[in-house]
Amino acid sequence: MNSVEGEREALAQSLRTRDPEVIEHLIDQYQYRLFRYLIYLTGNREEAEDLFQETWIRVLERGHRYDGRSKFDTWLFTIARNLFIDRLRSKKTQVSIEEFSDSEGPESGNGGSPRNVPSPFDLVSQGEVYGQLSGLMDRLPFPSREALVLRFQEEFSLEEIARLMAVPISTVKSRIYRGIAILKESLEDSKHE
Amino acid sequence: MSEDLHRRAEQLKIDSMAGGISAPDLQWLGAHLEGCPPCAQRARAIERAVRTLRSVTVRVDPALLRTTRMKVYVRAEDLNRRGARRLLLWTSCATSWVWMAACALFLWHGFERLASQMGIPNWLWQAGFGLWWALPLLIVGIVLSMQQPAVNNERDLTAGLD
Ligand SMILES: [Zn+2]
Repeated sequence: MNSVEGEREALAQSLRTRDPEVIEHLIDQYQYRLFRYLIYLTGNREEAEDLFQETWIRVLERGHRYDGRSKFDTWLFTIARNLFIDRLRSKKTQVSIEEFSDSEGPESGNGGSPRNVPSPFDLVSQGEVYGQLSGLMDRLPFPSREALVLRFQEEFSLEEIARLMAVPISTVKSRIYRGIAILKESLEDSKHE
Repeated sequence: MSEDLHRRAEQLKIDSMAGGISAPDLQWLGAHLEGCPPCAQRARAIERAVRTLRSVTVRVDPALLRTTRMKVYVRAEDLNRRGARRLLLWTSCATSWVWMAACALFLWHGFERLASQMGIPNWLWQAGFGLWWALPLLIVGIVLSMQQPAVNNERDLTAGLD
């Protein structure tokens, strides 16, 4: 067993104890990445905050299911993602789960953002998320936005993203490809404006 | 130059940023970009898009962290309490079964004598003897189901922590 595997195994063991101090330590370690991912996923700070709390409570409750074989961050993000999808399912009137899948294309009217879902940047934009990216990411279809974040911000491998999103690697690649293509065009447009 | 070659260059550029490409592809891409200014410009735009994406920062509200930690502690305490109660219940259930198993013969004769004195038919007291064994399980079931509303109450409580 190498040291990384040893660390994961130790983490898996400590999660089995349901010790809140262990979770507290993990919150310190992963707060920023998890919250950033949730912001992209939900497009809404309030919802991201709710999901942030729910995710850590779920980690406490289901910690014994983490076997230490996969990376902890992938497991954590999967929990957050599943909670988000559960929410989408329960809010059928606002957003249908199909809109979270690949059904939309880059050419689709509003760029693929689900109806009534504000862009992450509309709601988190009080001077914190930013740079040029403001108003650009929301032109991306949901799945591409998530794939881009996981690849270029979280630095997950294509295999890890595929596992997390429960899709084949080829789909991840095409989501990233589509996302970058739209983002690139949007950046070029904004430069010419 | 064919349109397909430019498209291939763009695809390879994105692939190289997303997951890496093979050495021959990388070599082909380098050569193409050198001889094709529009593709080189597109490649720079792709790099800029990814750089911009990486530059995004998000602030985590310290109040959110405090609330989350508190909720985790409250939930952990709740789980511990619930776990201890459940353990106690199952231990008493198991103890009852052991005790009943030890006295099974005595109980059987007890049921038989009582039934004959009260004129109860055999099938009825024998069914009663069977049900007697399910009694501890029944009690555990009732107690556990009575705990369910407490979960919702505690959820409401933690909701107030915001
Ligand atoms: Zn070219």
